[in-house]
Amino acid sequence: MKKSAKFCLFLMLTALFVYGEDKSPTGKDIMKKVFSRKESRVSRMEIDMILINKRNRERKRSMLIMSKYFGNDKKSIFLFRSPSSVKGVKFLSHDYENPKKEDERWLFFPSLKRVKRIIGSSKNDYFMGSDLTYNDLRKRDENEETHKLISEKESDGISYWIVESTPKSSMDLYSRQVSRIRKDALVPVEVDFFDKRGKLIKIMRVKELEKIEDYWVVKRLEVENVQKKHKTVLVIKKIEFNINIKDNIFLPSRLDSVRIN
Amino acid sequence: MNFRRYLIYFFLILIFIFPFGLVYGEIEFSGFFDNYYGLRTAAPYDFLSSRTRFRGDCLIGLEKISFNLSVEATRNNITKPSFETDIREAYLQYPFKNGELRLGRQIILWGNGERVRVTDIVSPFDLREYQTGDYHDIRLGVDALQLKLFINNLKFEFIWVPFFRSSRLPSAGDPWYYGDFNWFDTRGRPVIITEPSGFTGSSEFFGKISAYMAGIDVSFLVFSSLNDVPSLVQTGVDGENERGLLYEGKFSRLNGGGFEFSKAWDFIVFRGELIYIKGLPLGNAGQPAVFAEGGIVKWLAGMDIFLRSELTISLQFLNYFISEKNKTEVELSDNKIGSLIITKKFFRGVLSLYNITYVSLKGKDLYNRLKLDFALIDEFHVILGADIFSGDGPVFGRYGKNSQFWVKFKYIF
Repeated sequence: MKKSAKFCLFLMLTALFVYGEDKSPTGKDIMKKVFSRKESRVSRMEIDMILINKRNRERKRSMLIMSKYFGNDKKSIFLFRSPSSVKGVKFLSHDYENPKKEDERWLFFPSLKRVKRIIGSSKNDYFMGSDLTYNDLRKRDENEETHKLISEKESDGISYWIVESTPKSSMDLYSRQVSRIRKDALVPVEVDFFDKRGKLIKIMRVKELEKIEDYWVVKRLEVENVQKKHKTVLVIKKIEFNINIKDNIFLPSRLDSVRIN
Repeated sequence: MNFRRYLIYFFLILIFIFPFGLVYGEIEFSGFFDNYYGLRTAAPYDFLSSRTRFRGDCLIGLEKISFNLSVEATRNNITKPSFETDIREAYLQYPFKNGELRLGRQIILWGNGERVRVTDIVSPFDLREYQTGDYHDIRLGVDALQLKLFINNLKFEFIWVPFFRSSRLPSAGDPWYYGDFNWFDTRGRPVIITEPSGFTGSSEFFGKISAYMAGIDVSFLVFSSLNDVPSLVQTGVDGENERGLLYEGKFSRLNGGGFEFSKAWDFIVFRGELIYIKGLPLGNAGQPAVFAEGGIVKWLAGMDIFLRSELTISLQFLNYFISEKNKTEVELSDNKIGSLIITKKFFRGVLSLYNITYVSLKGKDLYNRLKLDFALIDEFHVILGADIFSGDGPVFGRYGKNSQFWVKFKYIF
């Protein structure tokens, strides 16, 4: 091959490589950005969770959630305000960044007067009868799944990535998830979850997304289990960022004493 | 302090604090109404329980202090009295920077056992229907001063109970009365049960240090308390009849210490409790008490296995130990008891199943309690259950005639 021909081939390959890297990030890159998107170090949320069964009968749960980062570890306390059967129940979680360190959970039941340590690894269980698992609620890591960028789309002037994620662990509840991610907000606005048989099990849709201060906030989220025809609607009634929340609220030793409101 | 004076005292505080709560703080009301009926499973198929109960809880929270009140009124169609009221809790709660003070009647739970008492020694129990109720319903409040201090993941607790409160026991004529505390001396006279009196006689003290560490919670405790059920104690020889003995029903002073732990490992939580008690009477309730000189060690080992789909299986084993040197001829009745607990939620928590099976390995008798809680709406529950006693042993078999099916209707507000 002549020298000039070799040089042309080199230029073409280089151009292809550079173009490819610049234009299309990998699925993993995208999910890394999503999972590490800017989040408040401290937050306080008042949430209504509405459970709707296939007969359209609604059950409503109200709760207060306070979260705070300690380094890269996230500690959260949930206080259930209604219905009366769970009023006053507190749930404390310590989610550690180090995957080798098991997350920790404690429950306090006011009627039992008891703080009980429960396990942190029941990630596939549904949270309070909703369609969300504990895994759906916790902070995740891009290395837990294999991510593949399927396509890019644009609708109403908003650009999206479509990413398919396949869990690495065989213990996971799903076989794969397909997420439509808003590029500007780095928020998955629609996620389809597929069960182990590959059938669609549930769809999570963000119905209201708003930028408050510097943070993108999902103000209304709907999760529909299409197999069981059950739906969960999460509505944030009030949210505050970077407020003063004492560290000791997140101590299990204080769970039976601390008054939060 | 007599009960009526206590009642007046706390209602005066309530009346005083209530307006402040309305203006400056928060007031929360909650509670429930329930109807409970228990029907014997064998002839004569009569009702063992029939009652209606109201419980009202009130929290008045001011900026620095809060007042907690829980009262109960019960209309009982089987046991006496037919109508009774109770102040379950009435205490002031004062949190400060590194601690908290609670003063007044309060229910205090120690230990991590499921329906088994080892280190759960502070609050007495209402045993008028044996232990067939939910433990959180039959635990009684004590009049106490409780101080908690927090240093990071450490919690220090100190409890002083100046006024002794005993467990409530069934009376003659009640379906669960087995004559355990109806004693007679050698001349056929009824034995008098005397409650402790005076500051040193009736005061109980408890101390506990708890550490919440990565993956494990550990507590150490010490106490000087009183047994919450009486025991038959020989107090002398009858002067008129040299061969006759004098007896008294006494609440023995118990001293000792112990520890508890909970350790999470993968999908299992291991837990245990151990307590050393000096002064605990051994033997059957109907017989004169025998005391092991060196005391006894009582322990519980258990594990909670959290499986998928909100299914939890728990295993527990309760036993006690007396050194060879201090061994007596009689034993604690509740030794070598295994229990298996299954809890499962169905239909997103609308239906909850709870089943506990106690097996006395020594007496070869068992007690099974099944509970199915169906939430028709969040506020209204229909609960069906069964308490089945089986075998000939002295621990559970003795209640064999009291096996029952029961139903409870509960409205929570």
